[in-house]
Amino acid sequence: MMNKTPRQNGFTLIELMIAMLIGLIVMAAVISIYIITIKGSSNAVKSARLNQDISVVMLIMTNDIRRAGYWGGAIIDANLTTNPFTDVMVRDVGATAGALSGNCITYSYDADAWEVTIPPYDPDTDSIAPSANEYYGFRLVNGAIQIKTSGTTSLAPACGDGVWVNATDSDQFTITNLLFELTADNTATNSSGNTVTARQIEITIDGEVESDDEISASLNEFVKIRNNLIVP
Amino acid sequence: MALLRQKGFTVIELMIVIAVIGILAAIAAPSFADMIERNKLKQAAEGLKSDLEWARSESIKQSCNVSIVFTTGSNWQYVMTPCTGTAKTVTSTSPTVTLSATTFTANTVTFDSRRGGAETAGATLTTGNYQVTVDIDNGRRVRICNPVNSSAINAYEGC
Repeated sequence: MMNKTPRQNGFTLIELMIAMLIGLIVMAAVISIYIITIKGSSNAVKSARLNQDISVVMLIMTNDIRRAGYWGGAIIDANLTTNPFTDVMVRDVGATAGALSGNCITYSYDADAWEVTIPPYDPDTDSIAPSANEYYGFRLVNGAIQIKTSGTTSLAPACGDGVWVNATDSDQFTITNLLFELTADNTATNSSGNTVTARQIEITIDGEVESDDEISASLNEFVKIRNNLIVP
Repeated sequence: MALLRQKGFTVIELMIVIAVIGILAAIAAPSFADMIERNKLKQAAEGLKSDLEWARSESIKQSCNVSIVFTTGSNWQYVMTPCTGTAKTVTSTSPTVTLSATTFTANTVTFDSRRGGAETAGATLTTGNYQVTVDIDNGRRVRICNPVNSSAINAYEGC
């Protein structure tokens, strides 16, 4: 009984290796599907954040640029050709003002006459003269959109004066393009013989995620400046 | 004829297997608890961030300042009051996450309706071992960051 060699039941080496190979292939497929899913959802989150960031900036820009040229003096029947807030200037950062397009815009409006809605006008509390905090702007510097928070009493310097702070997160997103295009048209003559020019700004923003430049977003908006340019 | 030999695991073998599973579970449990704790904190912080961003865009859209008033503590909450429409109250979703403090004046943040600016300050959320601050960087940009001297959560930058 003991001298008879028992028949070995088991897998051969070849069978085992084939099984391992099939196992590995299945595992590899499952892991790669898992990684693709995780990556996809993280990309979706990044893309949503980028879209949110640039659309908030676009919202602030369009609403504020639309106010350009507002002047308390208009309410008290001052001569509109003397409006000190009327200019809107676009150009590239560092270039001379007066171009028709660029990555920087400066404008002004009479913020402290905001409450001048109904006469009587009170010259003590309602200032219709420009002050340093009524000059605003947006520009593109080092991949971030910056907003001018306070500054000088002139629009003309090459977009470098005043205090500017980042309005987008340059650690997470790079703004690759910011473009303001000014079109002035519908030039007409009003009853006082002054030339009236309607102005429109087209704003384009292109941005991408800093860690993955394949995730990008772009936005385009038109803003009609409500206060026309009036020159004698 | 010898008795048919029973083939199977012995009690000893079974106990060893159970002990090994027990040891592995004991090692993994704290790190899972840690991950759950971090995720709860992240969830609360992301929620607060999107509410701050909502308040800012709402103030610009409605041309009217929108405020958020915080109540700190473990039963924390914050109330957002838009100019039109009903106020929205957000309360603590997890008993382990507390709104420990805010640096906003009078625990209130108000977004400027013209240019979306607000006070450069923030609110700090705390859970057992972690802390994150949701703040308004430069008075413009809402962000989540790791305060100095706290165990950093990888997903966020330093304050």
